[in-house]
Parts: sequence; structure tokens; C-alpha cells
Amino acid sequence: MKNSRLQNVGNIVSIFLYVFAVIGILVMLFLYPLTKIFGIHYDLFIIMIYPCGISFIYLIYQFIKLFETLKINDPFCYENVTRFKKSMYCANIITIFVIIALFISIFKYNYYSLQLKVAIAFIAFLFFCFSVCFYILSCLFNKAHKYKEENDLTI
Amino acid sequence: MAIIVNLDVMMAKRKISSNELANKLGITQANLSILKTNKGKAIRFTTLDKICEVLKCSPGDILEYKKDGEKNE
Repeated sequence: MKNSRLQNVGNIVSIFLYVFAVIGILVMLFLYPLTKIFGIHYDLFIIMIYPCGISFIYLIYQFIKLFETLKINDPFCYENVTRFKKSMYCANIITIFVIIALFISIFKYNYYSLQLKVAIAFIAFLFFCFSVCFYILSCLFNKAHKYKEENDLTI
Repeated sequence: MAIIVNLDVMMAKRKISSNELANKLGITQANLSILKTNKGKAIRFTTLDKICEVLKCSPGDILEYKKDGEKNE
């Protein structure tokens, strides 16, 4: 009962992740027409969305793979340790590009509002926190994998 | 690892097959294979007790200490 409920939650989260990934890809593909529709300046600041978007989609892909291991009841495998490390690198890349975008918005273009700049700074901080969390999780999963291996190889 | 499991030697002495031993010990063939090939990380006292009982030997007959890098004589 409990397992099936967990699987249902896992399925729902997987669907959400797939939807996020598809929306992300669509936004990336139609970024230029979207800026025209909404009357946004297609400048260097907007172009920064591309590297961030690619990293974010890759991050979502890692999460999809992670949930697949949860479905087959084998979450403490070495692949998940590398997945968390990859997620950490993605979060770091996003942080760096968001910071670059923040500097561009401050020094290059003066038509972006202060609220937006503060929001961007907050996003950079948030993704830095995510990267730290992913690093801690990767260390935890590494330990868990070692304990599991030891337990499995105890006859 | 420095600890060597000489289970296959003892099995040959007692003329017992892997399948038969696994059945008598109540463990799977895969786990017995892990033990025989020295891939195991640890052995439970209960398992060791059963092995000694089935093979009529002492733990010293099955487990041997060898320094790392030391060749078999």
C-alpha cells in the first residue's frame, strides 16, 4: 500500500519533470519570437537564458533518471552519486551565468528595474544553495552506497 | 584483502558440491560464490557456525590470514 502510494507520487513527480523539460525546451526554441510577442528587448541579458536553460534541462533530466532508480527500488547506487554531482555542476553553471546576467543588467542596460535585479541576485543565491545541497546529497548517497554494498556483501 | 576464504579447499576435502552446501547453509548460490571468490566484505557468525557444522571443521580451516601481496604457496 505504502509502496504503491510512493510509486504514484513518483509517477506524478516524473510527469511534472517531463512537463518542465518540454516547457523548457519550447521556451528555448521559441525565445526570440516570445520576446517579440511580449515586447521584451532581445539583448545579451536575454541570451544568458540559453546556457542557464540548457543546464536546467540537463538538471531535470538527471532528476528524471533519479526517480527511475527510485521506481525500481534501487536509489543507493553509484549512478545516483554521479547524478547529484552532475546536478551540482549544473547548479554552479546556472549560478555563474545568472551572476553574469546580473552584472550585464546592472552595467550594460539601464532599462531593467531594481526589483528584477534583486530577484536575479536572489536566484543566483538560490542556485548556489542548491549546488551546496546537491554536493551534500552526493556525499550522503556515496556513504549510503558504500554501506549498502557492505551489507549486500555480508554473507 | 588479507583474509582468505578457503571454502573451496574444504568443500573439495568433504566432497560437497556448491549447490548442496548452499542448500544446507540456507544461502543462495550467488552468496556462496561471493564467499568462495573472496568478494565478500564480512561473514556473519551464524553463517560461519553453519559452515563449520556442515563441513565439520573449525573457522581456522576456512579462514586464513595472508599479508597483502603474498603469493600462495
